[in-house]
Amino acid sequence: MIEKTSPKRIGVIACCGEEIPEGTLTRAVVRILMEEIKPDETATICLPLFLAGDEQERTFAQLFPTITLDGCEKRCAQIGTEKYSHSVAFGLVIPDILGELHLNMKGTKEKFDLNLARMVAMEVAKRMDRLKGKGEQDEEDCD
Amino acid sequence: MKKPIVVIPCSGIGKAYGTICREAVYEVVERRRPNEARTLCLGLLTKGDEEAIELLKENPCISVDGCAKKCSYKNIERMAEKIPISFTIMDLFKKYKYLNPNEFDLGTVLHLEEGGKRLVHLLADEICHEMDRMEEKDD
Repeated sequence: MIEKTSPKRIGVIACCGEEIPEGTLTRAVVRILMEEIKPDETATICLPLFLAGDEQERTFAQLFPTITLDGCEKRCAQIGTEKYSHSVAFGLVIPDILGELHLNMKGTKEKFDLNLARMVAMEVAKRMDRLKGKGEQDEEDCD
Repeated sequence: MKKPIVVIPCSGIGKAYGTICREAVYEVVERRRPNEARTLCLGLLTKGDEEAIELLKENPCISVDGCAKKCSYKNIERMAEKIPISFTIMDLFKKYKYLNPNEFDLGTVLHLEEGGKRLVHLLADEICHEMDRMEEKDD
């Protein structure tokens, strides 16, 4: 499903990796962005829909500047998005973000750590702001 | 030793149904049938990961989907060229007519309420029954 389509939004796609706690964390981070931190600026899509869906769904990363959030270095969200939709603006990976923030992974596959998810979501929100700033700058340059 | 059954939920992130599928699969692979079932990141199939595709070709599969788009089923079918046994939340509502999703609180994607947890257990029951049927067939 594509949620909340508007050119003013940034796409954030989670890998949702079912096998690892970091995959569950990516999912929580995207929902926190959508529900708490940037409800009017975040769009998302279920990653497997790129393969299961139709052409319209594959336009997602063309319609929205997109950030992918992966739980591990296999980067399924980034590679899947670039394979079926469009290149992404940032391909983020949970262990890298935690390293930057000097945080340790917490939570399990079944239960994410809410505080950690919020901290990672704040970090992703900074990238979204950067991306929006760049987009606005590009628009000004075109004027 | 028998090959484990690979049970893969959809990665549904828009509605509580995706979380219900995910938690039902964890209920099966982590607690009820840890020695007979395992899961796999669905994203690996979307990416086209060869090792994941090989695993599915060699093992029986069950897909568990939260909406009619059936992402888990279709990703398995397209990448592994294999028809999985399919479960969807809608099938559950068809089978158990007394269940009315409007009458109980499912909760949200991030936090399931009692209604959602009830569906998790029911779906896990269905998956386990199917696993038993698959095993009987093999014997």
